Amino acid sequence: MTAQARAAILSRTSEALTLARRTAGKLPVEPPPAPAPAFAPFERIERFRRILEGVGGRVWTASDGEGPHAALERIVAAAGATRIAVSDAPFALQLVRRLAGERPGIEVVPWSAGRAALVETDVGVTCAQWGIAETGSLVLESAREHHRLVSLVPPIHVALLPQSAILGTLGEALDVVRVASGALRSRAVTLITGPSRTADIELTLVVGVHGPKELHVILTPEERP
Amino acid sequence: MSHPSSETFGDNARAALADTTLRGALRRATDLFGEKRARAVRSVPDWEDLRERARRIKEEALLHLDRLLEQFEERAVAAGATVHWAQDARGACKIVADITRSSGARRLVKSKSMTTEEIGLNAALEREGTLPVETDLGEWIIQLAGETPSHIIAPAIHKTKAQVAELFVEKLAIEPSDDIEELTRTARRVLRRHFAESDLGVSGVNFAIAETGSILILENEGNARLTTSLPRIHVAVMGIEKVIPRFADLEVFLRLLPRSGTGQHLTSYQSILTGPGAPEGEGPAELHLVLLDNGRTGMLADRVTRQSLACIRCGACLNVCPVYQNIGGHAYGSVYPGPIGSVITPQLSGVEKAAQLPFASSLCGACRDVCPVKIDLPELLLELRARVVSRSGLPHSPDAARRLPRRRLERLGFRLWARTMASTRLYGWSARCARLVLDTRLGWWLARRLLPPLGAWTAGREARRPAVRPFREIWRQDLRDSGGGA
Repeated sequence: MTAQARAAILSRTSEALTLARRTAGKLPVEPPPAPAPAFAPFERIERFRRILEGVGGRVWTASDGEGPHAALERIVAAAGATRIAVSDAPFALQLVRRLAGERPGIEVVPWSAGRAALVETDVGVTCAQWGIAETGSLVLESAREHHRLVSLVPPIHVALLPQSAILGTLGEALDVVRVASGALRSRAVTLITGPSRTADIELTLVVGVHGPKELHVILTPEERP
Repeated sequence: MSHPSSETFGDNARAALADTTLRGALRRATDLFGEKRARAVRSVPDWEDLRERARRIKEEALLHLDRLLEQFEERAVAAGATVHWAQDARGACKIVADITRSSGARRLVKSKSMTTEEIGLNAALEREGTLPVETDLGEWIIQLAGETPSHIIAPAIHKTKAQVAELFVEKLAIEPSDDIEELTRTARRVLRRHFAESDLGVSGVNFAIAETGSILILENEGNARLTTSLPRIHVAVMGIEKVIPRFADLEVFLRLLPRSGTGQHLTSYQSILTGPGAPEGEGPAELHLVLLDNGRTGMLADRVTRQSLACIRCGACLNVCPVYQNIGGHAYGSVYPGPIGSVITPQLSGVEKAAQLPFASSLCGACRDVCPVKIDLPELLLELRARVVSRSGLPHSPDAARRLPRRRLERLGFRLWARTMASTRLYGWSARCARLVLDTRLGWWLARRLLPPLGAWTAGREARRPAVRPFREIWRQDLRDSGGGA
């Protein structure tokens, strides 16, 4: 049945376009876009932080006087969190387990625990494979880490991002998630730019609708993947 | 609850103009959207460059749509998706209903998709006993209210917070509160329960990439991510015009769409999905892509109408249109209102059903100026007007029947006008006659109360007295020989 529809749609499309293609002539070849301004690494970090914080995210760096462990501790304490969801990224697991080990009363919920369990968590900790300085965004790749629910369901999302993985532009980010053949490495690539938000009622901004209300990015010194 | 029809546009518009609450809400909303968009555009030095690149990409994509659709299907299938094709709304609804039935899905959630509104999916699924719950806050509000969206981006823009609060109290039995944060928290709580139990999620698609067989969905709330990650089955419905050639092309559209739509440099989330997620351990076990025609192939052959398919659904043309700003989306009686709606509705539903829409414009061109993909909307409006006028069959609507004698008179009037304006002698003679009449009291009185149907033209306009000396005379006697004067 759908095969019939397919044939009809494709033949109607081809018929309609055959004449159009002849009369349209050659389409001008796209000139390559102007090369994006190259940011020095320090500039990238600063720009990333400024733009993400401008949309309500919070960025933690070593200059805050603390390492990732201390930053996570502070976030969890401020939220009064007891149940922490964590992805399967080794660094995220390591950090969360260490915290749970040091504080009794903290329960660790793995990414695979299922909807019912994840919905009850207070904080979700993942890594982020890349950052984008131009837009203040995180890029998460499903082939590298199971991030889809842990970064979305809990009301607070903490992402661990290696400083060296902050790219300059959106274009670079779209490039880096592909393999040599041009195919995408991951079935789900998620770009995150700030906490969840809506302005559907009288165009008044409310932060934290279905996704997390708080987004924390902890910049780490480790090497990019 | 009956929804206004595009066939009674004139009546709908008059009713909307009398609704001061609606007009207040619209004024606030379109002003704010306009401001935010303008600020966002100013922050991008190569905005015009981007628009031109986007226009070219869309032009290329539409010109080669057949090849790109096949490529998209091939790559999507290779990634494990199932691709379905639907010639019309009924076919598309049947596909989704069949998937729902055969999978045994009982509880459905849905993220915002104008295409699913276009095909009437919710009503079709409700008949099967599986009404999907809308999860986008604005869409959920109007689902509770039994209404249709009034704006492409902000479906509940026509509702004040007091109206929303009243609705929640009535439908959800919550404590009355018109604190917007409180209302949003309620929505989150109630919709989480639906998400937790959902078996099947329906979404739209912002862009479909032929090169990789992927789809991209943009949002701010997070409900689309939940809809496309939690349930075991994901069904994505898309018009065939959503296909773009290359993955790298996304950069251009990601720079344009959020800024043009909501004034943001990027929305909170973009999901790029290629095939079902389950093989990686997370996400749906099945991904179904429904490719919809529903009249789109009919727009491809003609260069002028082909542009209508370039639309990326940003809503900027609505926000800037003086007509939309005053009457809102419901008056158009169509899923797609505003300037873009005025050109695609007649093409999708048939010119007879939406004959008045292309005329609902002063052709000011503001829409063309803001369109991120440079659709020449005034050109399209004129083309559709010509189609309406040249149709031999007459629209069978009470509104149109009333206008019938006016139509004939209009045609005669314009023919006379054209004759007169084309001849200096005829023009001079009729101008002299007009002066003679207007210089008398009776003539002046008549001019200000001109007989219907022309009376409507003068109802809101002041008649002006003719000048003491007509310009023709001044030109002939004083200016022509002296080289045009100072």
